Amino acid sequence: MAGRKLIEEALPIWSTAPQNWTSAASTGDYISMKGYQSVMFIIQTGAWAAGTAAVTVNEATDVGATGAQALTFLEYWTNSATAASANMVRTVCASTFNIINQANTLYAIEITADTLTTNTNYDCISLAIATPGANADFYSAVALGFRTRYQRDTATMIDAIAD
Amino acid sequence: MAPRKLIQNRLPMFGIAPADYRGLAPSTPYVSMKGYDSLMFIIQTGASDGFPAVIVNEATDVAGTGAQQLTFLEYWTNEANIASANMTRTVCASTFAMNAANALYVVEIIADTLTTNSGYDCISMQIGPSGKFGLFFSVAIVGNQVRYQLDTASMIDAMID
Repeated sequence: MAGRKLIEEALPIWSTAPQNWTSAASTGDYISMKGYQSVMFIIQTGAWAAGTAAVTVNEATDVGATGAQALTFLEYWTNSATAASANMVRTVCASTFNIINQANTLYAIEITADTLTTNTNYDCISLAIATPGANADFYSAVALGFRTRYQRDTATMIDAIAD
Repeated sequence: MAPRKLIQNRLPMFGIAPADYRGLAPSTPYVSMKGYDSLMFIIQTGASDGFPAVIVNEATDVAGTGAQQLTFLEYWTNEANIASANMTRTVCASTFAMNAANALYVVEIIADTLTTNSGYDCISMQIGPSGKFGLFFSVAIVGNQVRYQLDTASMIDAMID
């Protein structure tokens, strides 16, 4: 029997477009976590001319970013040797880290729903990446909603970018 | 106690760097499936005017030895990501064409669909050629049901045979 597929319980969600982000900051789509146990952001860099860019995660009370504030996260995963190995390394942090001045790197952050300020109705999150400066720096980001409810039934699926 | 995280037994991997691939046909690195039940390829398009074909190749090692096209029969897409996060499943015959800017396409390959009886255990996605139109995209890969993910000393490296 074929193994169970990841897509049956984890939904890829659009976050940040692949492009040259010179002199520009990016804010990913706000994702409602009502239908997910956790959301993993995967950031992938391409050509990287110079500079670094700070990564943060914001929480809000709706997908319109109402009441947006920085969210605490304490670890991220990285692979800056993607040509040599697929393995990632866990690093502790204090709610932010920098995309380093190196091309073709991979970063992952995973936010579990119980780390949001749910007692004041924060249930949406977004990835924010500061400008890398005036440099030709390419990156993209995609999110994966984990433990998705109703993934195979689009009629009843909870939409991650609707409240 | 915090719930179990996706990253504890799924491994994100580098696929194709975000860039403008006009006139090119980039491929992801070959990924060995020895340590995974399945691999999910996530294609993310940016500003794009040309929409090339997507295929998956299998090989007997990560250098691409004996490369041949692999059969896959479904993919998932979201071409309206501004309006909804939901994806739609579409059947196909081992290939499909990307069709929109700012869209998501997903192909998931399970290990038992490879030609394992003759030593095929590595796969790579190829996109294009794209023609002369602007075509920004990137591809990320997620290995599913990873062995040893939290123990880097004994982890099976997906880019080594």
